[in-house]
Amino acid sequence: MSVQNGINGWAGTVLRVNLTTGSVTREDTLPKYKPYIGGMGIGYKVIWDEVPLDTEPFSEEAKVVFSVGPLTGSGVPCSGRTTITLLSNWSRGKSIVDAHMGGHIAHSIKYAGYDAIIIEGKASKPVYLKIEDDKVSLEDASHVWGTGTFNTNKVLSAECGAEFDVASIGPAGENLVSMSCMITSFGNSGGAGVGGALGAKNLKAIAIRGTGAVKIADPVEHKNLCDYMIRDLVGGNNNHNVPSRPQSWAEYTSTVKNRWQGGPGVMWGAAPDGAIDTGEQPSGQIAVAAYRATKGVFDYGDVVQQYIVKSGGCASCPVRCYSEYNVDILAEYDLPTLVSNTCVPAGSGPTSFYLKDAMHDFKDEGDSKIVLGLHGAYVMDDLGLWENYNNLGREFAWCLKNGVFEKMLPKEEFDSIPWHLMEEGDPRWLDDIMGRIARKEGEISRIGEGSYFFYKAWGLDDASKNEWGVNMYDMIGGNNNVTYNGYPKHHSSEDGWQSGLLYNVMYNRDCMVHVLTNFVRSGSPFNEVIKPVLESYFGEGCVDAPKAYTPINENKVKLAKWCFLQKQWQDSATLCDWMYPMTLSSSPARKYVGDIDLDAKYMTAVTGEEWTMDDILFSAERISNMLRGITAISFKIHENMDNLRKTHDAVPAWVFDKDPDVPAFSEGTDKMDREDWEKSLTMFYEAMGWNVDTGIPTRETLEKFDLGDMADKLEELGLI
Amino acid sequence: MALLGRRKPGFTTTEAVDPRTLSDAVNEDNIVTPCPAAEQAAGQPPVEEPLPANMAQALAQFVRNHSRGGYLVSLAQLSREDPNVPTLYEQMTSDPACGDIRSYKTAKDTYLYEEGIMSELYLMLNALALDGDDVNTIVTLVRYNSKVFPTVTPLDYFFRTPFSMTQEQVDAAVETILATGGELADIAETQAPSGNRYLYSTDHLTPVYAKSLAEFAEAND
Repeated sequence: MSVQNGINGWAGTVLRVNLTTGSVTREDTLPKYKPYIGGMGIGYKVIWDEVPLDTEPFSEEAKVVFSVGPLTGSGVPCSGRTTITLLSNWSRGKSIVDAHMGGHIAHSIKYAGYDAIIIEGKASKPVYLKIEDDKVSLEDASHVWGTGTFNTNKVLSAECGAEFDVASIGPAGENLVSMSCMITSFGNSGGAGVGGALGAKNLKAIAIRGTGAVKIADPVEHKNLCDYMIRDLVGGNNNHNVPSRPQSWAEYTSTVKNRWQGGPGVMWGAAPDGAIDTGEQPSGQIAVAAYRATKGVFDYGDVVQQYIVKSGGCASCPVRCYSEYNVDILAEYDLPTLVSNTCVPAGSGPTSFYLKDAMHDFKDEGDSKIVLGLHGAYVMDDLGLWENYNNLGREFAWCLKNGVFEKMLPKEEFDSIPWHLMEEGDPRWLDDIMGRIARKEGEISRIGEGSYFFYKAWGLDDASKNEWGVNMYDMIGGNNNVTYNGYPKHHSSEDGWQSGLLYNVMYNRDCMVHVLTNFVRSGSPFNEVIKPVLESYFGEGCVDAPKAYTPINENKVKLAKWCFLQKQWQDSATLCDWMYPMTLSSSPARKYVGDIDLDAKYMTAVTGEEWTMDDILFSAERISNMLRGITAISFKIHENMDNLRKTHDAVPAWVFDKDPDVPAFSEGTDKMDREDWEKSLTMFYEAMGWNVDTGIPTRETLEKFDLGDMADKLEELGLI
Repeated sequence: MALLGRRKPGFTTTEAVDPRTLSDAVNEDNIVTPCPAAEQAAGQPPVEEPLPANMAQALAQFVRNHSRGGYLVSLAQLSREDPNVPTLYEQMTSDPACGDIRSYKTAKDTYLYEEGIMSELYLMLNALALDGDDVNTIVTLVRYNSKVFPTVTPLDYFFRTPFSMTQEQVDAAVETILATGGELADIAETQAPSGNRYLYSTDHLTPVYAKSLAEFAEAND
């Protein structure tokens, strides 16, 4: 454990578990992994060093890396994330991806003394990995194999002890479904196909308990920084800094639906000892910060207040973005009523499995999204199914609406599906239909292969190959694909003009970058707050007003690069990328100016070494170049493509062709302009030190980050 | 409660718990976390608020108490309750001990508040709500939001405190606004793809821009 090791910040040990041999080995985290910080950086280093990129992702030879960072478990607010790195089984190029899991298990990994756990090999029978500090063992999991994640987590907690945190895969992972995840705590998931990758290794779960701690070099400064952050900087979820309900101290009230929904009259109506009014939550008052998000109201509207038990969340999180509910209506269907999740998996994801006309009110107007959404979230989590930021739901909805299933499924299979449950708006429909996908039952389960392979299988990626005449990537409406690689946008140009689109196309899954949406949707006025604060960081013209965009400029590219690097930093540190960086503040006294150097201050206080944001972003840029280099090699190996600009980074037509009556760069649209986009890519590649024709890092850039071996490999493949 | 919540009768068994078997968490003997501030305060004499020297200062204290709860004091309403209030108000405005009391005047009333407690926006919202003119409240705030943010204003904005309007109130006021024309002709309606209604001022937003901002305002991923 780190305190015993005398290392500040890092735990000091990387654990390696070989499931084939049962061997357990340990190696020092430092100095080898320090240039990669932790989390994502360690994961990328391990995959690059140890896993040939032609490895089948769901195989014995593949590896899965669970990793945390120097700030995880240190008490720094919003540091409860675990990064899981693996090769993608489902997106074009089968390249490197990460999943990001919240809950409490990140702290347990750290307190047990580990910065990372490398999983390799394949067990001969279902097992779970049990870790209690330095005691590591593989235990029989046959009694939970085939069961859902909630049962598994409960049974293993009972077996190992209540102090253990458990994360498990469900039937989707066991059945090697690409759209699969693992679940910890009460609905905290890590997606991107992790479930299938572990299922291929017969690893059902990880149960871990740590009794150690993280050594902090300067605990007084650390405490002061934590207080300062919650008191003067933090707003609601996504650090939205203006409340959506008028509060007596607040200078602004958001009219945009933002993620600070608590306020006078907003209730946790199902709190155990009586309803709680979330009341006034002034900036400057640490004790009320956790009432601000009340995220359920954002997800479902005011009608949900009667079902909210409390706001849950991850370890070390004062923001609490996971509302917990008791939806007693579900009891009428013999379904669990205590449910919890947040955002897309709990709302538009599950309800996409119904025709709009089939959804009906249960008790109050507009409550169908609550009942169906929350039960759907429960079912998906229990099955360990991943929704690919709702590409899964959007594709199902489109097929449902357009009669695709009737044409594409064998008649016997089509007739076996209880469509009447969907037509009646019955929540039990979700158990049936999602169960088929998770168990790979029938042709309909191909939707669980992920967009890229599903489209190919049913000819939906080529208008000439299907009777509906669509290309699912390019069509306008009901389509969020941001590349042709099989994943959707995640707050892209609709929130962040060219800058948002630039970082959206850099990854091999939805980008999960929230930097721009945190201030664009903060609820703050544009001219009085957002524009002056952001321009004070990145210069004139770096930011556009919503739906009123301007052509690309250098400062937008500067901002895009900063956002891109922030993501790698956050997933390496590990810090919650819904909250960091602290771009804005909730404090009127600070004129809403955040503190974008806070991360470096934390690193200095925790490690005892002098860290600047330049140091941090340099390391993040190293990881960014690894992402890019690995992606280029994967695309060459799997797709024989040697130009990322023309393939991986290609943007579907709808992004440019939407709103046909409104020209790009005029008020009223977020559409992009093709010529401007090409210019944006060129400027971004230049800023990153990449070849502007191919979008691949140059040797000079890679060597700047000590990645000469990657340059050698790229050269060997003729990519540079 | 069952592990996963309430079930139909017979789905789970109920275990009766004898409260006498539960630990007494509030028993002082069980409180293990020391609280230095509480221990220090325990030995101090009680703090006594000085009584106001006169009724004008009593009025000022009344205003302060309300401000700290997020409320304005309506001079008209208070005067109806106590005919001495206008005189006391005059005395208060010239009393240096009441220098922190400010007034916010609208066409209908004067509202009193303690300086530095409420934001300017909240003063405006509170005064509009107390004036009780739904049409004026909606028009004023729609114009304010269109100009300052710039953004469209959802109708459910007025369900929130301090307005707490009902659906019927909002619908009636919006109908009046949109039918009035003349000096209210700049107020227009747009809808998000969800069908939810928004208002905006054409003095600050074009119809195309307003429609796109309504879509932007509702995104919830």
